[in-house]
Amino acid sequence: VTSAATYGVLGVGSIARAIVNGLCDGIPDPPRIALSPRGAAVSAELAGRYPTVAVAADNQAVVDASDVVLVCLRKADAALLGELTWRPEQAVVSAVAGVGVAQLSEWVAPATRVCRSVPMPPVADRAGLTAVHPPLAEARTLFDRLGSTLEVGDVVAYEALSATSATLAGFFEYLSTQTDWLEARGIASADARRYVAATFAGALTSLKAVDGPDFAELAAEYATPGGVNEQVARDLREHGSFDVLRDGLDRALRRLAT
Amino acid sequence: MGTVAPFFEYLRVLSDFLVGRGLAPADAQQIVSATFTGLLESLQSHESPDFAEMVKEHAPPGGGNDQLTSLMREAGVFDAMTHAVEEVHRRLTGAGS
Repeated sequence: VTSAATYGVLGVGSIARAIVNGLCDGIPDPPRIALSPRGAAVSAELAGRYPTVAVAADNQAVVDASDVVLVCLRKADAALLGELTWRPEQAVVSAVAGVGVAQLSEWVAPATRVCRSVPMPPVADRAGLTAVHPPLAEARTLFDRLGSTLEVGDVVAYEALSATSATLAGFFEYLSTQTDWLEARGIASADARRYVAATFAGALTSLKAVDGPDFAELAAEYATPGGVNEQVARDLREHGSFDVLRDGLDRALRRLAT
Repeated sequence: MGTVAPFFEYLRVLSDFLVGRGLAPADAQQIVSATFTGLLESLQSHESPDFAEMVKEHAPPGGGNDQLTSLMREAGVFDAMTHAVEEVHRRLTGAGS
């Protein structure tokens, strides 16, 4: 597959939008992209912004128009893949969590070039690192255009990766807890939010600057012996907070196992 | 704030979990780092972000994020954090000592 591949997108929500923006925004020679009509507002917005992007009449028209079909449907809607007619040479790149390759292959037969993936919002800025299982040339081409690709051959490792993506809301809850606490101490709500956001934007910026970050080392850097970071970390550890996180990941993994 | 080191511990738990499931350590560190640095923009794009709202955005009902966050909430993780911050505050201010 060359850069001349035509992409199709089934299920046009926030992650599909990020992918289309990453492929087209500021790119002199963007690919042709056919979007499914579902999620009509987002599809229309993208088709209006980029001349190579068009909204297809229906899902079958997306498949018919495309060399590589990206599936960004919700799990509950994914069975509609089985109602469409596929061509043997097509590649299918799924971003649906919890649907295994065996099930996908059954739905899209006679197409056999199938993989799963976990695209994340930074693909919009071509700064994503996208996990793919199993490795598939068309997926690597696509996700390298959107940043870089992490090919994972082992299904257990791949599904573990999906489980860790369930921890983002917990991070914001952590920030929310701190904001609420500051407010209860008399800091104005907007100031508390701004302060917590700046603190963690700083932490993430230093994280971004490191190639191959060692989290234990970063934690140690912030946790001066006898200091307040060390104390909060120890209190949380003693309470079993990190054990709860581990158990939660195991549960998420069991749920995602295909 | 006293809460940055525990955040890196949070990431370390995730990275260790992935390594325990067969991912190469360098890959695990890289993907965990990419997942969270991807949130940087959402922290910087608002003057004072509403974190409770962002929790909702990232945790559609019934999904993995919703499930894991509820689990941590029920297990008292965030309460433990409030207590830990209280304790730090007490130490820093000498309040109650």
